[in-house]
Amino acid sequence: MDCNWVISKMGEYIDGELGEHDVIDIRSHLQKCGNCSELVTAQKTIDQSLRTAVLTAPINSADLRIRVRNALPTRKSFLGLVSWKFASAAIVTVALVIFGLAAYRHYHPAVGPSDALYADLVDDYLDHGRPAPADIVQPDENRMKRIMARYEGVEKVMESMQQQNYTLIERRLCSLDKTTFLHLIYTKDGKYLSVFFKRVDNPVLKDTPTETIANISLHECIERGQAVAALQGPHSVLLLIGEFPGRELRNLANSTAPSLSAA
Amino acid sequence: MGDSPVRGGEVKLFESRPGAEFEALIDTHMDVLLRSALRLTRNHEEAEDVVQETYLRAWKYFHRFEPGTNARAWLFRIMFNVINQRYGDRQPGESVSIEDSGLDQVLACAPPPSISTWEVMDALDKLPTDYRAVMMMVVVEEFSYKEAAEILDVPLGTVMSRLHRGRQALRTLLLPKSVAMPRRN
Repeated sequence: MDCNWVISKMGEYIDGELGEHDVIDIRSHLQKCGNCSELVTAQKTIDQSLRTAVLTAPINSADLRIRVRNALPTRKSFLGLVSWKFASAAIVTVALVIFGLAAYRHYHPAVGPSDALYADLVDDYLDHGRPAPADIVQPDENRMKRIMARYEGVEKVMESMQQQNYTLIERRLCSLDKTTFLHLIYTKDGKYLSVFFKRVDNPVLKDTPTETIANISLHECIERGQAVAALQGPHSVLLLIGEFPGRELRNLANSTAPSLSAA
Repeated sequence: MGDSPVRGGEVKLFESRPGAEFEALIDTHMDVLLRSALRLTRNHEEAEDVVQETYLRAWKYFHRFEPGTNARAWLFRIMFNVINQRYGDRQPGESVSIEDSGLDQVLACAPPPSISTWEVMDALDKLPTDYRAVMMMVVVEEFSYKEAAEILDVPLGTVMSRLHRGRQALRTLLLPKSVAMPRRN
C-alpha cells in the first residue's frame, strides 16, 4: 500500500464508502505518513467549509412556496367521489378505532424508546437553560450511517460504551442551540444516558473552547452535582447527560475521552 | 340548498388543494432543492423556475411515489431531469478545466487554512456543472454514491471519478499556493 493508493481512495474513505479492511489499511497508513494525513485533514476541512458555506447561505423561498402552491393544478377530492352516508360511517369507524387504541395505550403503556423518553432526555439538557430543540427531519438509515461517519470519534465512543455494557437504544439528530447534534441514547440497569455529539471541524469553531461550543459550564454543573460531562476531541464535542451519579458519569467520560481524542 | 355542497344525499364533487402529504414535501424539501438549484444554475430566477417545475412534475407523478421511501432523493432526481432538459450540455458561466492530473501527485499542503464562505462558494461555482452536481449531492447533501448515481442518472464509476476530480480541483483552488508535488512511496 502506498500514498497513491491512499489518495485514490481518500474520497471514499472520507465519505464512509469503504469496506472495513480498506479503512483499517488507510488508518494505519495515515498514522505513519504525515503528508497523506495532512492531505486528508485538508480535504475534510474543505468539505466541511463547503457544507457550512452552502447550508448557511441565506435562502428566501417564501415567494416561491406561494408560487408553487398556486401553480399546482387542483385534483378531485376523494371525499367528493363517495356518498355522504358512506363517508360518515367511515369517519365514525376511524374515530372509534383511534379512541380504542388510545384507551389501550393508556392502560398498556408502550415499553422501550419513545418520544416521551426522548423528550425527557432533552429536558435534562434544557434544565441547563437551553432553548427548546427545533423539529429536525430524521435521516433514513443510509444517510444516518453516512452522517455518523462524519462525526469523528463516534465509532470509538460506541465501541467503548458497548464494552461497558451500555445498550444503544436510539440514535437521532436533534437541534439544540440552533445547531445539529447527533444524539445517541444508551441504557444500562434501567437507567438512561444521552450522548450528544457536535462537530467542531468547522473553521468557524476551530479555536473555540469546548465550553463555549457546547454552551455548557462544566464547572458549574459539577459543583451543582449535575450529571454532565463534556469532552472535546479534534473534530467533535461530546456531551454525556444522564440519570447516573455525577461521579459515575465523569468516570465514563474519562474512559471514553482517550478514544475520542485518538480518533 | 343554494350553494350547499350537499345535494340529494350526495356530496357535490368539489376541487381540493393538494393533499397534506404533498404539502409536506413542499414544506420540508423546498429550501433544500432551492439551495442546490441556486448552486447549479448560479442564478436566482432560474433556480426558482427549476424548483417550481420540479414540484409541478412531482405532483404529476405523485401517484407513483411510494410513501416511506426517500422523498428527498426522489425530488432531487426529478430536479436533475428538469435541469438536464432545460440546459442540456450548455453550462452557464465559465468553469475551470478539470483534468485528472494523475494519482501520483500529492498536494504538499500546509495545515488546513481557514477558508472563508466566500472563497469556498466561489471555488465551487468555478467547477463545471456536472462536477458541481456530484459535489453538492455527496459532500453537501450527504447522499451515498449509489443514491447520487441514481439521482444524477449516471454510472457509479462516473460519480466516483467526478467526485475525485472535483475535490482535486477545489484543493488546487483553495489551498495556499501549495505546489502539486510528485511524491512516491
